[in-house]
Amino acid sequence: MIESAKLLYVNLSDKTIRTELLPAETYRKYPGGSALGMYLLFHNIRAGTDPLSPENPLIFTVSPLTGIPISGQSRMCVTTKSPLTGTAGDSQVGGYIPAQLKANGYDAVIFTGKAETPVYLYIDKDNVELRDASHLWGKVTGDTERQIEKDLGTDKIECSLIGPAGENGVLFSNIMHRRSRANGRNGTGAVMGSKNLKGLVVKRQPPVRPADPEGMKTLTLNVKERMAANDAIADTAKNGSAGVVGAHDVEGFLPSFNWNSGVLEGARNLYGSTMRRTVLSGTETCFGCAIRCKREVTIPGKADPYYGGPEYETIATFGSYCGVNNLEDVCEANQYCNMYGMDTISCGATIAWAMDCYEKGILTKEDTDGLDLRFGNSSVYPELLKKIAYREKGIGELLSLGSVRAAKLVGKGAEELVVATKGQEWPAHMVQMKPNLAVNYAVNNFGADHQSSEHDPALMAPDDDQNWIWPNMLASFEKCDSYGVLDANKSKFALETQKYYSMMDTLCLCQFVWGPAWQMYGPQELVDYCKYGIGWDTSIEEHQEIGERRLNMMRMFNVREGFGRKDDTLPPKAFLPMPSGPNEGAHITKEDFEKALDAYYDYAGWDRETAAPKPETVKRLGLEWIYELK
Amino acid sequence: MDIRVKVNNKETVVPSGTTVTGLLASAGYSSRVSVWINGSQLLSGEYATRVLEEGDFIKILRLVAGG
Repeated sequence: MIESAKLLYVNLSDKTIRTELLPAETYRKYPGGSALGMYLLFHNIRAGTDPLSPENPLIFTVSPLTGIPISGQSRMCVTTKSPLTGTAGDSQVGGYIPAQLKANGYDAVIFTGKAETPVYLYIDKDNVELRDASHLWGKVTGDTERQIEKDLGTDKIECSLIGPAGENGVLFSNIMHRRSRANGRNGTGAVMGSKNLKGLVVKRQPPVRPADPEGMKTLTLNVKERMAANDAIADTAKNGSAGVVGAHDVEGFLPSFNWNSGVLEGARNLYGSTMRRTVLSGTETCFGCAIRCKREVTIPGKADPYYGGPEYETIATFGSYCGVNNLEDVCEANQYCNMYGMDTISCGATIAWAMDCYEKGILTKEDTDGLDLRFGNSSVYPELLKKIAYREKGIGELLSLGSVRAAKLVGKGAEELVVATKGQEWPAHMVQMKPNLAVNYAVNNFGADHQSSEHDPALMAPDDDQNWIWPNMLASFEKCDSYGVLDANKSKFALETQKYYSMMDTLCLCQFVWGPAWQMYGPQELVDYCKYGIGWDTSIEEHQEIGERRLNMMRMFNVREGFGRKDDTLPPKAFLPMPSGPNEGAHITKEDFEKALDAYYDYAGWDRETAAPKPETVKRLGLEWIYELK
Repeated sequence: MDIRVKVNNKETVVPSGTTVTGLLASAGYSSRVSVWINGSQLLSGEYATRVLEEGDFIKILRLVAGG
């Protein structure tokens, strides 16, 4: 069953620390992660708060399932008001700190206020203290972690830290864990930096135990067989998320040249299989996970395995988005981002936007501090990334704002070249191939996100394939037999799988392991895990409602901040027909998109005009209390 | 003896007796695909046994998820 949650409040302004219990009946409605984060955000922020002011809370949450040894359960959510999007901010990290925060006895840490001088929070069960971080300020993530280990005299700790980018207020700065895992999106690192908070450090403890160890074995003992029987999981273990590069490339849907194309000559150099055969020197995993999808690369003089290796998204943004097919340079850019603490998606995409502007003469060498920002010129990455991380006057400061704000400053048609929604740059899945993502990218509450709904190919899967069977456990869908189809069926698919992903971000589950289509464990197995792990008798229906409640909380937060249908949009490039490649001509239309958006709102119980949840939807989900807040 | 089929609108020649699994392997596809023959979608369990016939119109779509 779900017990009460232990919340740790840390007021950085007056240095007070206290704990509070959230009653079990409340926790069951908002059971961890993003839903708990939103519940706490609403209760600790006023409408219209500046995201980089002391009044914006920074909230770390795990879930009742976190830390129980099984693959894909060690995730931690950060919730805040995003300085990049101005919406509810949300980002998840894997690794070991989620399981260890839980093992220390905490379900959430809520930072409020601002420290007078740099500090970090150290947690060793009931011993919780703010420690001086003045000597750590300015250090890159890896050096910071090493210094903390030296100061504490132990490496039996887990850290989530910011680098110089977060300290300097880069709007897409992130919070790094183990140098290669990130609460990556939404600029959470800038919020942390604005509080003079360098990090969250927890001492390692023995792991939490499941309620029913024998029951758990039905899910864990056969994990090797499960992995071998699932081609998608086997490929993820073999090639990491980078396995997707090849699959997109051969179909001509690898976003290239700032989304002007889906084809990049020499893209094979960027394949996950190429990385495995060339620069890969090891693999890593998260607490309790058998898949080991994390990459470590070694390139003398360029990349140290201490900083991991690039994911698919990073390979796309610093590779194909920028017209680059040099894997070593992509790995180097990945390392710099991890050292400085910057989201590789927004950072690479913003550079790709700048390159597009440069190619079109909108930006010149006078604007770029002399850097030659033509597509394909990855030699600029080291210098450019440093300029961005330290917000150096000129191109660095401009790009540190992200592409949307930078384009507004540049003008001259630069805004037409932006590929973002709600201020957040798009991840690397083309809506011409996966049109349900057009709906998702538009409506997603914290900006475009590829891990907030299942992708369209599940609707193309054969009737005897889990990719078809599992989504239909959530709702019934119609089969789709080609790319580029955007209709009410896709809207329904977007919403129903979005609810499921929303629930997973609440229960803090990895979406490569748990999910409604290709993953290792499906909807019914998650119900079983809840029972065996914590004795929680639940159902797929309750899981869907939990996810829906979190989606509506976020939407209500955004509506309160002035967001509406006008912000549920796609950039112009979303409607470009594929100009070449095997699927030349594939496209979606504006008319189909608007119809699909209407259908989505109808399915969601939201008003078509305002895009706000209707009163009856709010009531059904028990969220009327939000109306009472200021 | 060879037969002619169309794969994703492209004229293709394969040996007589080729199964869908054989076609996928020779064309470089993984098993993570959907296959339609003459407008009807196959079960994945049929890939190994369905033998291609002269003039078959075959559509193959990759199942590419997130990452």
